Amino acid sequence: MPVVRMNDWPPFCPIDQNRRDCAIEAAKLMVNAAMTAPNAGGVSQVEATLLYGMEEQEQLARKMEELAWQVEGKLISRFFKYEAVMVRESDAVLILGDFRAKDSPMDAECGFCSGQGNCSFLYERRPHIHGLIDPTKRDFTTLVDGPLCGVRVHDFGYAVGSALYMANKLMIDARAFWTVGVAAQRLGYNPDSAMQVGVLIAALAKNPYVDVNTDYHVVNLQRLIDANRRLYALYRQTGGDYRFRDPGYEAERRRRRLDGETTGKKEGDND
Amino acid sequence: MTEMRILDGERFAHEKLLDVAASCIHAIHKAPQVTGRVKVKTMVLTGKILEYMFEAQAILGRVAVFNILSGASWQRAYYAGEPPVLLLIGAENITRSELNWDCGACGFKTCSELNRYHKEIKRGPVAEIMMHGPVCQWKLFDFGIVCDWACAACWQENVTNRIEAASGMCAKALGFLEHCDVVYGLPIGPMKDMFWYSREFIGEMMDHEMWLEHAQVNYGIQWAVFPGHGRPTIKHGQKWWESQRERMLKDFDHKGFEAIAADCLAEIAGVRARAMKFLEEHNIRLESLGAE
Repeated sequence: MPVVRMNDWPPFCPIDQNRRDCAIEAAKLMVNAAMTAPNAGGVSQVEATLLYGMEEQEQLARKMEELAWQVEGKLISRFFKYEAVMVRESDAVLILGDFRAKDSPMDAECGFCSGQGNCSFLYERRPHIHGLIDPTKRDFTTLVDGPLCGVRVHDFGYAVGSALYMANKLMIDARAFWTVGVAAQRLGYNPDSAMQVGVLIAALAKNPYVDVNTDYHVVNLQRLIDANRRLYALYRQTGGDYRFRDPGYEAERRRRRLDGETTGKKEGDND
Repeated sequence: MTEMRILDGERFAHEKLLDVAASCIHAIHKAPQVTGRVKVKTMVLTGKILEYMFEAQAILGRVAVFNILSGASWQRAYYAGEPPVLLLIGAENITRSELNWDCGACGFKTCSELNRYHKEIKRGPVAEIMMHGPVCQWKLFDFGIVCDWACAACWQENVTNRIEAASGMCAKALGFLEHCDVVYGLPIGPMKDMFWYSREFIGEMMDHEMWLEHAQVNYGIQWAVFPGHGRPTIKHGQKWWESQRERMLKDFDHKGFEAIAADCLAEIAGVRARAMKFLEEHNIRLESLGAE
């Protein structure tokens, strides 16, 4: 019978990886929920990628930080930076994408995207041949390749909502982030999807997605630990050669002597 | 000592549908939004006021057929003595964006451009559309999460349900949650598995001929013949070769449609006035329910 030990520290060590495996199983169930979520027309429109591992998460976080500098000065620049930290702190990242919103619209003439009772707003802004949108045009200059079909976008909300609902039922912390989706798309995940979100997943004592202090990209647990390491290495230089003189041992002997005076015991007596 | 009670189980459970609606509303407000900015307002309708909605569905069904499908299901449950509860879910502020994300999902480069478009676009009363956009796509996405959590909460309670644009748009047209940019309806109940799917009445309404006719319009390619001879026809009828039809696009009478849509709007206004009078007679004021 195998024995599987789990603990969350240090990150990515074998016993932490055992714990992470549970979160990964939960993420797979979240994919089920996303795929079976209600949608208009009952046709598949969601694709998913499950990503985990120190290097994979780091690559995603770095892409987000790169994007942050492309929109430097705006509030969302901070979103990218803060949420990149959260990617690193997560156990897994579930990237969900909608592969119909851009080039396979519902054509419901619903009025969502433009307020007009037809789909002209979308088709006037996309290359198409008699209403068949050319999917080969993939370049865009904005963070998200809009415009998008409102019905599909609304439906995509149900898919992500169901994934989050499943996480809720499984008592696992999860939150959806559009910034993660934007970075994931640029890294080539869910290649057919113009709209993507990254659902960050964690089974930790502290939910990494709430109680986020300001300047989170520079003041966070990883940075604090690193600061400790840095200062620790400097201050330990106060140590001499413990084989010849150990101030701690001398202090301990003094304490024992004082204790002996009050209890009547001599140094070296058994307790 | 506990009071002795003997209850009709079905009636007892039916009365508890309102409790399920309350659970759904809790889920709606607990739902984790990406923007965190969508203001959601809910309203619950039960009983006789639903009959006005059925009228509205029949009227709007002339210009948007899905209203007929929803309305027929609603009426079947209602008149069988198992009326579902209608939970209306509205979003108040999704047609503009104060996010300043400038993400481009809406088709504009910046949120300000979207807001400018929102201000400039002329919106006449249109009967057949679900919502007068434009929208911030991330807020619309969040509205999807919100609606999904309502459905999921209901599902967890083992109560049949189906999120609908139809009942939402009709209720809004009658003045319920009218101030919201978009309203969806969630029928909660009746106590039957998958009542809002595999709809029995459709089989009763549609004979095989009618079904085939629509199938050939919607899945035309299935009945297409060899196109190489240059006469793209469809196999129509059991002896289709006797009455070959070309697969041609049929002109649609837009003027006629617009006239029907205008009539619908006028008729909806009439139903709305009667519904409001009915509420007044019962001392119910929508304003007091948080609707502006």
